[in-house]
Amino acid sequence: MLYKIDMKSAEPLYEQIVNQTKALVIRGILRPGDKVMSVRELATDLVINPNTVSKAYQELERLGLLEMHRGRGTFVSEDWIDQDSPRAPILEAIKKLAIDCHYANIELTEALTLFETEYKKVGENHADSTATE
Amino acid sequence: MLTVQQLSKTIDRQQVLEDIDFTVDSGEIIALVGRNGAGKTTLLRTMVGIIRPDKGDVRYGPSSIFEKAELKRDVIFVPDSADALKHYTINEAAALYESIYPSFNRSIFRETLTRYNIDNKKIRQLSKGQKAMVTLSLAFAVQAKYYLLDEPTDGLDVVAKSDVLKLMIAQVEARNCSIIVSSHQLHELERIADRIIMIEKGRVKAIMSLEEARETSVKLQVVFNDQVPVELLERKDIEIINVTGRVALFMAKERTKELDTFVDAHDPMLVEEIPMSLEDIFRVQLGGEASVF
Repeated sequence: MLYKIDMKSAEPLYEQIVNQTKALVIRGILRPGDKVMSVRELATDLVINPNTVSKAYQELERLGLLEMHRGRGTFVSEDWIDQDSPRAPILEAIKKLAIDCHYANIELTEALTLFETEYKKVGENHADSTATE
Repeated sequence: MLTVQQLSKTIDRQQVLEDIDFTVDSGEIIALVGRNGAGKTTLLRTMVGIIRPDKGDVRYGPSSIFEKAELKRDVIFVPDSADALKHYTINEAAALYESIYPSFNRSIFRETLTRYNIDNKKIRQLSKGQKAMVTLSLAFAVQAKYYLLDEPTDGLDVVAKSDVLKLMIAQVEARNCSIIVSSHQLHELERIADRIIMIEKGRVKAIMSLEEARETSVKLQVVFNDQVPVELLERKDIEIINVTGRVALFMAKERTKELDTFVDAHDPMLVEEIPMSLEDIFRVQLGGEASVF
């Protein structure tokens, strides 16, 4: 199962699907041209309302990440660029992380190294998936 | 569209339903939630025309179900037990449905049973989970527009419950039918319901979309540099849960820009959004009187 639905999260269900789909593409688990599950498949799989999945797919189509081809299914777009990726929540997460690092006595240099390693790891996967085009 | 208008019913001098009003669009899944005895079953039975209301009406499109009997072919009520069919075999039950509903599709019914490995037996010989699957499959094979399901998941184990919910989802997605499903446990239905109708003592206590509520409402924990500002405590649009030292925990029914600006202006050290539980959502939506759970 690629998606994890968290009913306790403050994030609406359709947003969870939107964000997790984005993450799957960024991490290269879903690649351009890949077929994604139909609304019904994903809804029954996750046991959630099909209208919620539809709403998420519509949003992803609007963002240019998914393309629906009548009769064939829904696919990951070949040329999606995450343009309006919201920076605000990321800055917010960094703020929290900075506080956590302080409490855990992690020095700035160490924190930066750790971040760099993780950032590069994601970058490699992402580069791999775009290189196969 | 299904419209329930000011439905009222008194049984044995007790008011069981009182001015119930709501509508259901096609393709919607509505969860009807309330305690035992709140009036859920009576409401469903009235909506399908089994019980005549003292007042009010139930309309499917332009016609009233109490005036136009043919409508009943498009509105199926599935009771919470298969008792009425227990002496039938599955095939006999299918034949019965076929004689009542011209649109009953035997191959759809067979297909579902095969998928869940249910053989032709007497219905009383089936497990509780199998009974639920059979009665639902019978109903869905009619391919009606509206389904009223009375506690279809009650007493089922986790796997059977999930099968039942999946069957419902597939139906709605495939044929855009509407489902009104009752339960005394909201947790079971929160994932699949478009809207929730809460009913208490025969009255509608709240109608809401959980997704919408999740999008608009917020629960915040704010740590201030100095004291928690008095102006915050005096705000009418928030509900304070508690204040400990410089930390305030509160919920807002609507997260407005103004609220964010207000918090920012009071120099907070940390603003953290806390996940809202179902109880939180109900409390903030209903205004502090969600004693239903």
